Amino acid sequence: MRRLVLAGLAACALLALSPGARAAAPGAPTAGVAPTAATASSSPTDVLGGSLNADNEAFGVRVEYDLPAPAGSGSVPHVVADVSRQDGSDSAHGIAGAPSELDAVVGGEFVDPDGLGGGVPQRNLPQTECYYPGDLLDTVERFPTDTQAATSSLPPVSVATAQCGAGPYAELHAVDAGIGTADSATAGLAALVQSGAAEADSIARTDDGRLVSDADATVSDLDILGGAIHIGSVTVSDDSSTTGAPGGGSSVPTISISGATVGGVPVSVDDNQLTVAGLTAPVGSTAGIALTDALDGSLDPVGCAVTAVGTTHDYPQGFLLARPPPAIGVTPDGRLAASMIGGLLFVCNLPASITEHLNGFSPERAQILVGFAYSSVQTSSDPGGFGIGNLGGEAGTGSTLTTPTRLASIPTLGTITQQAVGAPRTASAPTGVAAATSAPAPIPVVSSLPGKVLRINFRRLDPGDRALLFGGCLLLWLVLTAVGLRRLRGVTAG
Amino acid sequence: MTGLPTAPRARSVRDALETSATAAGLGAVVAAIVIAALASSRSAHHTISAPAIVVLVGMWTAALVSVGWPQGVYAGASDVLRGAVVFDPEPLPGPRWAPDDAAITAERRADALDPRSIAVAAAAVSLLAAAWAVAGTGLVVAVLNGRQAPWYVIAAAVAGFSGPAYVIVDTIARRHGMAAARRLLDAPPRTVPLRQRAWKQVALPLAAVQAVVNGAGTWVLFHSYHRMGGVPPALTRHVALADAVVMFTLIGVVYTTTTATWGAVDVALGRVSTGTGTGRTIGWQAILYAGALGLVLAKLAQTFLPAALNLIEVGVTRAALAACMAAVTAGFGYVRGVMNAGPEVRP
Repeated sequence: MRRLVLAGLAACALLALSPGARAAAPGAPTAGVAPTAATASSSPTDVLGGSLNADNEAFGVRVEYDLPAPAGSGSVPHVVADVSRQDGSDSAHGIAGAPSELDAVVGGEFVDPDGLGGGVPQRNLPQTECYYPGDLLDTVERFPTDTQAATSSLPPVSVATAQCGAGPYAELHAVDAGIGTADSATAGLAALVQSGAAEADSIARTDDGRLVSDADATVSDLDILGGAIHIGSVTVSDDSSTTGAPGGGSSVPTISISGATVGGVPVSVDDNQLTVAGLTAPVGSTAGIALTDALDGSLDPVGCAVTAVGTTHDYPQGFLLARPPPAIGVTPDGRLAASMIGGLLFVCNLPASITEHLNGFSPERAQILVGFAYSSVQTSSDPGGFGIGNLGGEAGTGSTLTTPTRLASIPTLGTITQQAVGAPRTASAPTGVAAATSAPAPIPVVSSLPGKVLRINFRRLDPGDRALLFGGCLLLWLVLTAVGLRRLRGVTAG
Repeated sequence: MTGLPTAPRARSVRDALETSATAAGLGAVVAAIVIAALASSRSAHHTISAPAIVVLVGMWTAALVSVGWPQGVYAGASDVLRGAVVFDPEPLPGPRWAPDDAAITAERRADALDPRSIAVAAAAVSLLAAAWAVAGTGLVVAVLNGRQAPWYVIAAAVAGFSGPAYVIVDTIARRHGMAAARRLLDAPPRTVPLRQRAWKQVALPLAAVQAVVNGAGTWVLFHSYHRMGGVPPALTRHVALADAVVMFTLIGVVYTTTTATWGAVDVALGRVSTGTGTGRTIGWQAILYAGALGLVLAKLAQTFLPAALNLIEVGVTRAALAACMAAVTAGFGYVRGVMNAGPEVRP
């Protein structure tokens, strides 16, 4: 018995010391609103000592299919930046694309128009990448101008740029004249999603004693399922910064959705407030969830359901890849400031009228996330405003997302949209969808939240309750252990 | 001739029980790792909450012990019938029998293989073992203090608290089975018709256990899923029954093999009658047919279920499918054990 008791206590001790027991995401304060639990506060070390990291991500629209195989048509436009300093050595990495190649499967017929297979794309997606240190410091990819020799004379309809440098510093831009435009890299999305101009921008850098990480994405004139869902404009941004000193961190996620009609019902999101048919409630609140549930009813005819993501601690997962949650929150010691925000998530059962336009690929469902941004800064040192590389003038200074410094030679969004080939979008609404949108269903009165996940969030215990639980369980366990071992004693006799 | 394979050599009761306890312990550890992997694989971020661990450990312990008790009893009886165990010639009571030996309880029990006795004992030890395991898991809950548990913490909790309960129950049950077989060889029990024994007394209770376990296990497996419309992962009919092959294979393999031994033991002890019998033996093919039938049932369920489900609907569906599969495989396995025992040992 003594051995078993000791073994049990050892097991408990092992669990207690386990480094893998993760902090529970639920219940943590919302980024940008209130500081999270305090960690050990200390003054930042000097500029070259310690470490810092800033990363961010933003995209306008992400489309993923499910069953028979998880696949994606890409995130459009998409920017991902990551800069860091370790022991005085700077590094930066950025990817910009419209769409990027970061999803499970992208491109399809576009990257392999002749069906040669073999995994080698014949045409590049409009994605570009930068690294510092390295040779890829300032890169640009224009579509279709830079895609093939045969298309070099055509004006670009989407452009991605990436600049990396010391500081550390990364600045990314991705612009697209229109998602789903005919003959573009996103033409395969036309059956599901079409839009007007879309843009995503990112910057991560040190600037005048602050570590800054900003990302934003905008999409205009967005139609989903041929107009069953229409969004006039969606703008999402997430700005985080910190001085590394106590109280020096901040993280501000914002989203604005305007001119939207979901199943014929007017919807808007502004300042984390969801408005449905004139009723307003905070995104993620009980009332807000009730509003989105009500919207679900109006989307029943088209087989879709909608969720307002809002500020979140969990990355909006796709069907295939499970991405661990990042550290979110603003710590009082200024070492961490991070937040994440998403717009509207639509999950749709795809009718045959849609899937028959997908070149033989017949997914059962699709999820379409409109608007996402994440930014994070972490530092254990004074970020400074420059790095060693700045002595050579490598890093940009004073740039912000609204006034990019290194885009002089790159067409602006306005130029691209003017040059974009293609007249107005010609894809017609799928059969059944248009009919559904012509007569929007009334919003039902919601008294409960049926069908949602059944989850028990076990929060942290008060020290007294925790001790009581531990003591009570230990006592009961010891008593039952004694009973079990007593039954076992002498069982081998005979 | 018992119809059971003859043991290569006989061992003392002590050696036999020590060997079986070691095997049971190793099996419990492997099962714990599998259970932890299954539970964490479908959870958000591959971690589960403290209440989920409590439910998981409690349900798993109850399920394991409720089947482990009858299996242990029959395995012990089988050891005696196969000649794998030799008893100490010293009669009971004697100088080497301590008054509070657990073996004395086993030796003095009238009939540990009696269906009602097995059912009552299995229920009692299941509740006790589940309470024991849950009490231990409460310590983990206090240690976690609101944090999520990754797979290895789950595995440690399942192995650490379900494992000992299973090993102890299995060991005691085997000793009871040994004593019962020795006693029943001298005084055969009342004979029960094969159909009643196979389907009512064996298949039905095991099906009920599987229904409860799979119904409750649904929450552990899918509590991170959302009904369609929420943030993915969404709980659809395809997701809910995606592991039907694994579920049916596990149930089929475990129940057909264990209940075949039960049938052979019951025949050897004269508990079950087969009527006139056909003299034929039953091969493994029929078990494959049963498995295929289960998969067809699962496919049918997928067809008729709505595309989006809630946890209760998924729980009911999985419980019903598991119960059907358990009833068919357990009943069939038992009948196969009886029929293959050999005509010379069938009454």
